[in-house]
Amino acid sequence: MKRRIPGLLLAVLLTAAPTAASAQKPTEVTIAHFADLTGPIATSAVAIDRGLRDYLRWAQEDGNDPIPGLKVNLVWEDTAYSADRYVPTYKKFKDGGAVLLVNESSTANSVLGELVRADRVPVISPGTGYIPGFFPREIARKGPSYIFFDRPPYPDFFAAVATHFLGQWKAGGFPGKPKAMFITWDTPYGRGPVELGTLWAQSAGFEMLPAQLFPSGTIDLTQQLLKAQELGANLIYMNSVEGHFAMLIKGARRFSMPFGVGPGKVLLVGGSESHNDDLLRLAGEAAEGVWAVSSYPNWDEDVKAVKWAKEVQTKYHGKVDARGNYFMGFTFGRVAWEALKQTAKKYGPDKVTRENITRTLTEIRNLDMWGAAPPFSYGPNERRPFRTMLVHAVKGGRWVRLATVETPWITAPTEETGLPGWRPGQK
Amino acid sequence: MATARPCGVYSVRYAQEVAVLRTRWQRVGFAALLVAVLAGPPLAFGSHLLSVLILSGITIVVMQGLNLLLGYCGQISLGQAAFMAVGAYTSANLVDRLALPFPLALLAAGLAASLIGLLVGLPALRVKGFYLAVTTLAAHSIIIWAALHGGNLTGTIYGLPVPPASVGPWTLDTDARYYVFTAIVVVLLTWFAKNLERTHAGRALVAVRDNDIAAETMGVNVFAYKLLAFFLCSFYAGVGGAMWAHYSRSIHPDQFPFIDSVWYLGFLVVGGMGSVLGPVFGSLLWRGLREVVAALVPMAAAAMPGFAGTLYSGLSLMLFALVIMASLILEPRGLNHRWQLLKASWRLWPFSH
Repeated sequence: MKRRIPGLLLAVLLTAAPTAASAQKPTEVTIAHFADLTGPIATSAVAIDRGLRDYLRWAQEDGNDPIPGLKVNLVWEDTAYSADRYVPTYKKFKDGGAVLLVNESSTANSVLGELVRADRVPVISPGTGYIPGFFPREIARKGPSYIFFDRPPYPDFFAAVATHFLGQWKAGGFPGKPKAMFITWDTPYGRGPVELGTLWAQSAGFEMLPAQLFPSGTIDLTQQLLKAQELGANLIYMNSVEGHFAMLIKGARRFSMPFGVGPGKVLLVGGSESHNDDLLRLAGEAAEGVWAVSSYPNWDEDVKAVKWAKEVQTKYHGKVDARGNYFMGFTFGRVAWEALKQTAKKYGPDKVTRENITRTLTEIRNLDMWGAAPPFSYGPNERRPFRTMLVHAVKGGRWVRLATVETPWITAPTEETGLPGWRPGQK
Repeated sequence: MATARPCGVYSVRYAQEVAVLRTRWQRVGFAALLVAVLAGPPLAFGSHLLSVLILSGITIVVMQGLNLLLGYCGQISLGQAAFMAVGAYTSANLVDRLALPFPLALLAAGLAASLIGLLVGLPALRVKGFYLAVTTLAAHSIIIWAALHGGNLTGTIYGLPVPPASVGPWTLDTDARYYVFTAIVVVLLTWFAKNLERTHAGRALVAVRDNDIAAETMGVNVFAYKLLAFFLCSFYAGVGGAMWAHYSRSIHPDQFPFIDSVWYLGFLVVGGMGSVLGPVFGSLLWRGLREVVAALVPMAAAAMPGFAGTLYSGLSLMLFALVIMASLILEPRGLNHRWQLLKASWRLWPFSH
């Protein structure tokens, strides 16, 4: 009999084990990522991809931030920043049951914006060049936007840094209106801040000079800089990647343009994609004194997200890749994770559906981003996550945070639901 | 297809001689194929594969146009993506703002692109080859610039939302419906291209391609036929662009990148220039490869995480380039030629020589 007991126990265990396991089997949900790992934004996309992947891995590993009853899978495809790749990939993800999508570009949003709105599939995206994503038309008939952005529209980036510039101009007691000019890439992305940013700046007290646009493939900005010099620009803003901004900086140095705030001086300011260490490498000493505006911290700041990023990158990849866009991926991961967690908690793990996630996202308020970005809040029709931007400057060969500025939330004239913010024609 | 004549079948009338489908079995086979192509995929596939087929269909239309220009007339164009943009914006405006029925807007989109194509084709009288390619490249830049700065007409950097297409009482708002519509357009435009090839105009185009000076001495108006080729090429691109616009439901200048024009050209060569099946093969191969690589890359990355994701992703670009190179070296006449050889050997089997 004694010999039989262990055998019986084993038999009971073997038959019971699958039942117990199936009873505890978590519900699996899928987040799908349109990763533009090749193509013109590949440099940023690789860092974004890593940040997202690391956060989701970290959250599910070692009990860091588990969602009871839920297992989250990440699927991805290289969409190569190609409009006609986004559509079949979207259909594949949708057919595959993905509950939440993540993409990386305005172009992706321009292709997918109306499709996800019709199919009611929530998307998290940095593609803020797609203004209809913030302010869609025909809300009453078609419903709100299903794109939840990780930052405000591009005109707000410009407005934030221009506000800080104007403060310094006034504090210096300089007379007259400062003259501002856009020298920027002639693409939807590059021109993102120009139209509404110009209207806002004029009402804020700037004299706006004609925007100088340059086409793709430009290797020299002499013509644009000479124009800026001729018209006496005090602030030059560029919404483009670090390579273009480095070209602008070196060109300005070549013409011995004095950097700074004040009459007879010019301040060069780059958008979010210029705020990274690659700019310091490309522009070298010439970058000293330039500004950039973004929502991300610098890699030597004492904030939780930076510490986390260094620790996790060292653990998962053996070294730290200090690119600003890593925090973009981190914010995607964190927002997505919180949306899933709150949805599972509120509706149950087996009801983590697209519709419920969308509802949860619209209810997110002051989500702590550990300093990687200001706290996130959305609303029923509000897709701008925060109103605060960071102004950075290059000092001593590294990026240093200069100021935290509240943007006016420049709102497109096509906006239909009465969202808060500055509108053209408003003082 | 025109050479597919079983032993013992003779033409006794001129109509038989020039028919595309010459035997009863060819007609039955073609009808069966048509039914299978139109009805099979919507019944068998989900929206992902249907979307791949829809995009393949749009690409076939665009490549058929390019084939008329390059394959038949020997003129080169790197502006197909831009002509697509003209068609897309035209149709979006006509349907959305003027409430024009979609089929008419589709036609107008083709015509609008054709008119721009005519302008671009004007230098073809004076320049050839590489120089003509550069001219069309300039056209691409100008058209995309115009789209970016076109005010309300193009929505500038914000793009335009596009209403769903409707044909009569049917709204093409599902992948299955849009697929059937796309398949019909592909068949019609391919049929047109096939018949054009056999007309006086088609032969004149070929004469211009083979030797324009000789063609002119024979009385062919070289300039007129070059312009006709540009007109038709752009018409097809405009129709393709309109189809894309109403499928994606929004348009934006970023959706028509220059690199697409290069791939259209490259994969037309791979498919086989100067035959109506070449664009079909080229398009299906291009779209198919993209899907295969897109599916394999994440798997490879998961199996070998030591490599960077970008390495795997770069494979698609490398693969496309390799396919084009291999095609030029091993089968410069394209997949269509290989298909013709296969058919010939099948007919002669087992007595092939």
